Amino acid sequence: MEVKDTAIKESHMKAKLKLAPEKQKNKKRKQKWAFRNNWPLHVLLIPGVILALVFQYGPMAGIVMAFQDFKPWLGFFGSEWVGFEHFRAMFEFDYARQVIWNTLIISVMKLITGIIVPITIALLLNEIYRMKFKRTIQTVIYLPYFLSWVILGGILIDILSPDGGLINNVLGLFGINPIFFLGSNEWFRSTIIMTDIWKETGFNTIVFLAAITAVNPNLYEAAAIDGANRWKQTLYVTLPAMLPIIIVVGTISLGNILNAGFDQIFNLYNPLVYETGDIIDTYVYRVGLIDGNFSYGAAVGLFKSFISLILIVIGYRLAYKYANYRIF
Amino acid sequence: MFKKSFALIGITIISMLLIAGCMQKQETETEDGNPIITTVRTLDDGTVFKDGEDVNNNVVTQWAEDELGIKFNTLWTRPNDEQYNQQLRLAMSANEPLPDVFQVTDAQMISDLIESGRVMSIDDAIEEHASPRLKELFEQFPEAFYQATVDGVRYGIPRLSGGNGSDTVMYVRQDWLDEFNLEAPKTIEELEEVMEIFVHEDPDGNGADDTIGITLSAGDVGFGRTNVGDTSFIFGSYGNFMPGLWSEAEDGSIQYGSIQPNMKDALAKLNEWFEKGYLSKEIAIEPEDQAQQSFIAGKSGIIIAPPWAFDYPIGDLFSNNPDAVVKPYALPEGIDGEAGRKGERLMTGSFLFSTEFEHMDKYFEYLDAIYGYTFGESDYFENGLFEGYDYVMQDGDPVYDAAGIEEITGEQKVDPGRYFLPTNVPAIPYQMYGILEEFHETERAPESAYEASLAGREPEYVEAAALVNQQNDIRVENLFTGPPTETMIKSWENLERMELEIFANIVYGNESIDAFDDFVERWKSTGGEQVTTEVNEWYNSVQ
Repeated sequence: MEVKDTAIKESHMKAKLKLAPEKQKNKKRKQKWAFRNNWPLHVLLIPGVILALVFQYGPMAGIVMAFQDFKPWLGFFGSEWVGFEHFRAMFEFDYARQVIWNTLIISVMKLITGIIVPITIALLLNEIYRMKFKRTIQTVIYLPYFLSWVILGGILIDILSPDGGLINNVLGLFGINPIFFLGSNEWFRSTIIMTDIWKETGFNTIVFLAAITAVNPNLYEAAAIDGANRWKQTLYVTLPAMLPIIIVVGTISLGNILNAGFDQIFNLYNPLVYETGDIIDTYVYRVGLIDGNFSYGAAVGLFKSFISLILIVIGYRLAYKYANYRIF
Repeated sequence: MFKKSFALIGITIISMLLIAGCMQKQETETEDGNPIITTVRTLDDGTVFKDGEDVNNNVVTQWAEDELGIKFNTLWTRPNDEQYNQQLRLAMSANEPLPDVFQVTDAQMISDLIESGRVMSIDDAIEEHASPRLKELFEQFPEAFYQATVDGVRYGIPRLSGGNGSDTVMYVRQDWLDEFNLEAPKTIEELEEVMEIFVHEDPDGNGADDTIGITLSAGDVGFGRTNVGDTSFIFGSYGNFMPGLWSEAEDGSIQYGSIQPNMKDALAKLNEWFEKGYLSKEIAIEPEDQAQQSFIAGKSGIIIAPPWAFDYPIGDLFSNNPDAVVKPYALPEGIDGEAGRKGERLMTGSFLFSTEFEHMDKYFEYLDAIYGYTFGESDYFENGLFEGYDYVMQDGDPVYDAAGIEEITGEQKVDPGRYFLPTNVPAIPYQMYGILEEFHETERAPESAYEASLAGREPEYVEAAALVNQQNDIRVENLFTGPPTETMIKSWENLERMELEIFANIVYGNESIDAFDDFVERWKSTGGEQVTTEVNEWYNSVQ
């Protein structure tokens, strides 16, 4: 018995060994063959790769200026190297800490509300029976997503004005004194987050709605038979089914955690609210582009990118572990 | 095999095209032996060409070639200063050959170019080639050269501005004044009385308490840095310094305006006005173009603005309310007749010349020829710039106004002045408003094509220009036109942010007026003192 078994095993192994090189050869041949046939497609790829190299990777060389005392007329090769001098200056400067702190608060709030609000709206929309009504609402919510902050900035300053702005007029009807949404440090961050929700919610709502439609209807039927009402169905069927997409959306936004929204804040902030509203990007803009302190601006920006990279890696690991989601 | 070589050929052709694109060969002379002058420029949306003309082939380039024997070759254009500077900086860092002649507005870039040694000194060229009237003009405004002066050597020809073109006057709703039998305010106190009535007596007659006294703007750029809604006269009513401007102190040094004692008084006054509702609640939030809406909408009785604002934005008021009457008045004065206003800079940028440029004589010939129009003594522009463009002849007389030209030719009036190298008709500081003042005061007839083109503007505009020119002695100009100093690059963001924050917060009453003293201390100790020293070093080096 035993002998026979080993014999069989051996023969199997032999067969495998025999097969293996042939398979590899085959594979190689196949690849070669594929390339011979597909090379025009690869050639077509070249311009795209070149563009990416030139415009995405080439400019990255500019990072070196964060470690230099960069002078434009001396260029990258002539400027003096200063190592981590600019980073040290950044951490020693109180205001830089304030700016990082503002950025974190605003973007974390945006991250959280940017998931909770669209999910809620998606769930509510999903319960609407009339398709026409549902679609109308969906479109209306989605619409602001297409407007640029440059335009919205002007509109919002008008709407939020304490001098007869729409919102304050409505609040006035309830006997509330005019609120200085864009001019007081107590209100500025909330205003930023609210307006961000208003503009961006539509997009994520659609993503989540798509996830809901993808849920297998059998699950609902089974749950109904087990006596679950709509609420319980939502809680135990819809939400768990949506979890992967929620994690994906959350992961992707995690990489943006130090982007508190330059376009938005730049168009809405003013000296009265620098204390609570000035973020890394607006700060870098003023230091680097307006005042020409290129090296320091680049250092702050690089620091931001570095933290973002770490967060993306963490987010990616988490998503892989808990939602089995892989991008790469 | 065939396919392979085909691919190789393809790739070779593509890369050759790419390389060829980077290596444009430049001719320096035309076939007739005329010099070719290469240049680059901004070309904004306001520059209109007739059909078939473009930046390299138009009535001006043709004229230059025929009359002066200069062929201009504009290598590239960009629609605004920002993109222009960016392109120039790219060209610089790529070590591309510089154009022969080009204008730069950014002081940092001017300094970089001079430091790189690729632009040439023009001291000798002025001496040798500039016409007497150009020399005289240059001698009249030596400060205009400071921007492009290093170690006493001049590298740039300034592109002179109208001097006081964007200095401000007070435009008042005359119909509101008349309604309450008021005189136009001449002092800050009188202004307050008028504003009190404008705010509380419902001058627009709509029964709602929705008017403000005066349209001022600070917005995100800060106090004293806007044209329409300019706040500088309030600071000027208390002393000689303007926020954001470096100007001369009594000891002859130059000092930063925003930390001077007169700021404190003016800010206290602005805060008082803010509390009393004379100002827009959003003075520190709205940018200039949004702040002006209160006046256009007929919700404000006074706006501080340059004379040209009478067309726009003030013109929009008349389409909203045809009965509105707006008149210009001199800026109000403070106690003891103290007055001041922010003055426009004498130049906007400088022309620089590549070291390889060999035809400075031609450049000055060209400059003198186009300046001839502005001087009113020209061999080329007797009736205007170019017939069929900015004027047409009818019965032997030139017609300048747009409507008239359109009626006669059926084509729109086109301003060929914008095709000139300085991107506009060359200006002489104070000259234009000076002429308008004479028109206003003496009703003398225009003596040149240039003057004739100025005549026939709205009387309010002419009066405003006259008022600005009469108050020239109160203007305070920014004397620091050099590149940002070393400490400025390091700490200006911080210094300016502190300033904008404290100014806005004092006006809004979030900080007490005494916080200003604290700000001055902090400003000085966190780099301001050092910046002041450096700015003075620069100032002494260019004089």
